[in-house]
Amino acid sequence: MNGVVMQPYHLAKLIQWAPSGLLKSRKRMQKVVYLLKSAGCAALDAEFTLHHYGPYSQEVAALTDQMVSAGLLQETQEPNSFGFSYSYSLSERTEKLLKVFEASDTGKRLVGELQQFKTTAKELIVEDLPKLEYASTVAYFYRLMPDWEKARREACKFKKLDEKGDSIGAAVNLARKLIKFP
Amino acid sequence: MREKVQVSAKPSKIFRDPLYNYISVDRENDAWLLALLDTREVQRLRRIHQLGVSNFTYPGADHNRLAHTLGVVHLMQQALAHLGRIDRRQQIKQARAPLLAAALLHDVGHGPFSHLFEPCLGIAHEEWSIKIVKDPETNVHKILKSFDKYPPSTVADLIDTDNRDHPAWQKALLSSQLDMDRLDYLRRDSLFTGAGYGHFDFYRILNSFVIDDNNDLVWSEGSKLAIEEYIFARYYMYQNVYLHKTTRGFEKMLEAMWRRARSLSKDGTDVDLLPAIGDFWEAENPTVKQYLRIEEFTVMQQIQQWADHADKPLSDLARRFLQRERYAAVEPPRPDNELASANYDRWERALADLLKKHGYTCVETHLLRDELKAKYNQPYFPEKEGDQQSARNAIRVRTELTGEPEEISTQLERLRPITTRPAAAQVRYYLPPDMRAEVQKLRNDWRDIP
Repeated sequence: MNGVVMQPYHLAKLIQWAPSGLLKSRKRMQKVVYLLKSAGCAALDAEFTLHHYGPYSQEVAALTDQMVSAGLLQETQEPNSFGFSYSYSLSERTEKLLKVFEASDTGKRLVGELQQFKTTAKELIVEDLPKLEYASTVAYFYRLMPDWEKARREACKFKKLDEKGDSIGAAVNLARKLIKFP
Repeated sequence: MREKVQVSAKPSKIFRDPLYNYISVDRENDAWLLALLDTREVQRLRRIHQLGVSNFTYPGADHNRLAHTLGVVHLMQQALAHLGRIDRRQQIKQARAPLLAAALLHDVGHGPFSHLFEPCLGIAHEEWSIKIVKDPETNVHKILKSFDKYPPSTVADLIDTDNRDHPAWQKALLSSQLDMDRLDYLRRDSLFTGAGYGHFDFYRILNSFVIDDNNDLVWSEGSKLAIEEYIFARYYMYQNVYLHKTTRGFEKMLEAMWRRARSLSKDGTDVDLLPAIGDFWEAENPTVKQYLRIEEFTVMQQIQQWADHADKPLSDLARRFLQRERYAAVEPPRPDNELASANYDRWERALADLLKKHGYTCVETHLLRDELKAKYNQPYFPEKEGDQQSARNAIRVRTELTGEPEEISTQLERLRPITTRPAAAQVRYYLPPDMRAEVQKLRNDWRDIP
């Protein structure tokens, strides 16, 4: 019997690794988790499906909201052209819980699983948001058909992007750098 | 001179249905749909319980997948007729036949006992639905091909949730937060279980949506109360029927029984397999034909044979299942630290030791873990960031004030408690009922993180 895979701890660490401890936008959260999972981070094992704006996980969204509801995350909202954008930081209580948890046996094991992806996570968290969206979409198609050219074409068709454009080129490069599955 | 009235030589084919009274299909224009319905692959759905083993809890829940499938076809006809009335674009007319075919075939890949048997065979029904549609040997494929206008690949792509080759509105009618599948099964399952929940004004919902600028579905503000009823119906049905503790226990028992048989068989023990099941398990890549041979009656006959098997853990589970002898459900301890789930490995080891002390030596059949993901505990869970919303993750209504689509819980205060306080994942253990008191004591004394 396996344990529950993605836990509040994992999301808390991603937020802690964001500049000034503030992870901006739920979309960024979704795409960072998807790309880290694609890069081989087994701890972030959430189920994703393809939506208008790239891979999306209801599980990641639910975990975020559960943590806000439990007072583990602080949520701030800013208006944008689509309604609101949300940002997340750790509450003071969560900072304390993290220290206690990481000193426990279970905590040490989970830290170990995530630590090797820290550099990649920190790089992704500050990436340009459209680039994250396109790269995760390319990665999604690559998972369905492991051929980079086909994945690029499918992503362009899906996102209505110019196949020769710079934005898709940069996204493919990012996905290729990360993806570990064959 | 009086104009001659054109009367169809063939009246519509009528099906009596307890939810809609009559479901009708045009014998002339939709003859192909009736031909599809009569294929052996679709008729097989008559022999699949819509709600798996929910009839162990609700004795009336014996309705089948075919009745549900016909219901989805009926609702799809209604939804497309509504769209045709308000939107004259050619794409609506062109999409009608493939969407009706996909509605009829969306569940054709279900195996015995619907969803619950999927882990037993290691399958996903959607994948088999697609395979059945694409396999040139199936009658479904042949019928689709013979009518020429509706290639099987188009229908398969519509059923495939990963495929995005079709406009969002078409996919959303088949699978989204408010789709034809859900509109039918909530009311149908409510009726047959007698649970008394699951009522909502489906007619209003079916006649109050439009296609927006993103080619996605959005509802009119006037339908928001009907949608609210629908969301609460989902909530009550999940809490009271789909996730019922007793039903889940028998589901886990069935899974454990098949896992046990599979593992014995792999180790060389003769588990007296019926040919259909043996062939499926032996095949590296089972064919559609091999898959379709496994029926509910095959599974029940196999379980009956296992009830007399020499392997005690296997025969014990088979006997309990046939006689409806429940395992007791126990909640695990709450985690000491909210950042991690409980340390289930330690907890499970402690439970296993306790079971062994009482003579239950086969942990895999006497300790069954049920893990419900948070999303199954939540009737409706919308994405709140506007630039990530679609019909797949949010139900949106176009407000009369701004004309813009807004997620429905932003418009209805009463929905907020269930959309802003998401449910957590839930873990439960099932074990022989005589163990309950000792396990409760263990739980009360438990410290999670050493």
